[in-house]
Amino acid sequence: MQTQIYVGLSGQLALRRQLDVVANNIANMNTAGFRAEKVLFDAHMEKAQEGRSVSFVVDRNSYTDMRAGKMERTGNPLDVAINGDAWLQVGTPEGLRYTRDGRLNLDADGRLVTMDGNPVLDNGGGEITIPQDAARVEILKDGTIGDGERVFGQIGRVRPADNQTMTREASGLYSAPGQPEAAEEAEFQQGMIEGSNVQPVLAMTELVSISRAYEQTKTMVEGGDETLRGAIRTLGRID
Amino acid sequence: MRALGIAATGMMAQQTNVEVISNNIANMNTTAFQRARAEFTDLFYMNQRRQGVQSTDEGNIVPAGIQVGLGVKTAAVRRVSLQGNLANTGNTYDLALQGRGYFMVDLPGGETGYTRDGAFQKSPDGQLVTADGYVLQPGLAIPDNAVDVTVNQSGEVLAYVDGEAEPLNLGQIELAVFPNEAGLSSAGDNMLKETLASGPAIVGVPGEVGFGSIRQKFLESSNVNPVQEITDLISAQRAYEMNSKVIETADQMFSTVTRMR
Repeated sequence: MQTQIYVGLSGQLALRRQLDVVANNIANMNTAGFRAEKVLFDAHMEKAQEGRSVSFVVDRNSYTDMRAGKMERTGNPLDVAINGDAWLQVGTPEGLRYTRDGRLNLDADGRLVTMDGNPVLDNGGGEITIPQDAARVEILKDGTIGDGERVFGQIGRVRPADNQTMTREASGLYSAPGQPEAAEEAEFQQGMIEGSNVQPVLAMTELVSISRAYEQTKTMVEGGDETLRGAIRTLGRID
Repeated sequence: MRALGIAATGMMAQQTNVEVISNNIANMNTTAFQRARAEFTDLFYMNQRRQGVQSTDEGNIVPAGIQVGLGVKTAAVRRVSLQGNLANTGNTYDLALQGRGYFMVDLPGGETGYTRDGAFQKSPDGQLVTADGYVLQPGLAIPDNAVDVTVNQSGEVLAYVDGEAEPLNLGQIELAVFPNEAGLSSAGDNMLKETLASGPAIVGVPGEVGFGSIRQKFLESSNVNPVQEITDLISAQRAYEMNSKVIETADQMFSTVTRMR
C-alpha cells in the first residue's frame, strides 16, 4: 500500500544525507590533509508480491577517498607532506591516531606536536624533542630530523593494517584497530603540506545532481499522491 | 538538514582566511612583519552506521560505515617565522636580525616585549629606543660626543668618541629565542609577548649557536610574498562562493519540500 510514497521518502532521506556529506567536503576545501568522504547508495529489496519487487534506497556506506591531495608549498620548516601511502603517528590521550596533516609545531618543551598539541611519534612510538639551541631544522626524506650536524629523531611513517577500517575523528585524525605497520617507501617533503583532496568541480556537479534528484523524488511522491486521490475520487463516487 | 550549518562553518572559516590574508597584504611593507596563515581542521564526525559491526548472524562485517562530518573550524592563525629580505638603509641605528632571535624591549608596566623590528633611534639620554620610545634591553648609554657607533655581528656596541683612537665598548645587545616561536602572542606595534605556549625566553649573544646575528644599517623587510597572498585570496574567495552554493542548494531542497502537497 502506497509504497511509491515511501520509496520516494527513502530516496529523499538518502539525498539529504549525501548533501550533508558534500557540504562537509566543500567546507573543508582548504583544510590541509583532509580527505573527501563519498556516499554509496544501495537498493534495499522488498518483495511486495509474487513476481513484483519494490526497492528502497539505503545509504549503506560512506567511504573516504584515499587519494592524496595536491602538495602546497608553504616554506615553513616544520611543515611536512608525505609522498606515498603512509601516515604520521600521533599520540593522543585516547591512544594512537593517524594523520596526513603535516603542519607540525613545537610546544613549550620543544616537543614536535600537531596543531592540537598532541605529540608526533617516531616509528617506535617515542616523542621527538628538538633541543633549544637548534639553529635550524632539517627534515630528510626518510623523516630524519636534525640541524645538519646532529640528529634529533626520526618522524615515523606508518600505515594501519587495513585502511578500510579507519574511523574519522576531528582535527584530521583517524583511528584504526591493530598495530601500525612501518611504511619505509614513503617520503617526506619538508616545507610542503598536503592540501585537501576535495575536487571543487566534482563537488559542484554533485550538488547540482543532488538538488535535481531531490526534485524528481518530489514529483514521484506527488504522482503517488495523485493516483491515490484519483482512486478515492473514482471509487468513492456514488451515482 | 545539517548542510546549512556545515556550509556556514565553511563560510566563516573562509572569512577568517580572507581577514588573515588582508592583514598580511596590509603589512606588506611593515618592517620585520611575519606573515600569518589561517590553519583549518575538520570538526568531529557523527557515526550513523559504524564500520566493523556484524551485518548477518554468520559474522559478516560491515566494511565501511556512514560518517557525516560537521564542518570546519579555524584551528590556529600561525605566524610563519621565515627570514625576510634585508634592505640596506644606511641608518646607523637600524639593526636587522639574520637568523633566529628577537630583540628585547622594555614595555610600559615592566613587561618585556620581543621584536625583530630593529629600526631603533637614539633617545635624549643615549638609549636605543623603538619607534614608540620603548628602551632596548640591556640598556646602553651612548655618549653625546660619540662620532660614530658601530654594532658588530655579535651585538657588541662600540662608540668612537671625538679625540680618542680606541673605540669605547658600550655593552652587548642580547637576543631571545623561544622553544616555540609560533606560540608568541602578537601585541601590535611589531611587538610579541611570551606565553605559556612559546616557553620561556632563552637569552643569548648574537652569532652563538642557535642565535641569529646582527647586521647594522640594514632592516628586515616583511616576509609577505604578494603573489602568494593574491593566489591565496583567490582560492579563499572561490571556496567562500562554493560554500554559499551549498546553502543555495539546501535552500532549494527545503523549498521543494514545502511545495510538496
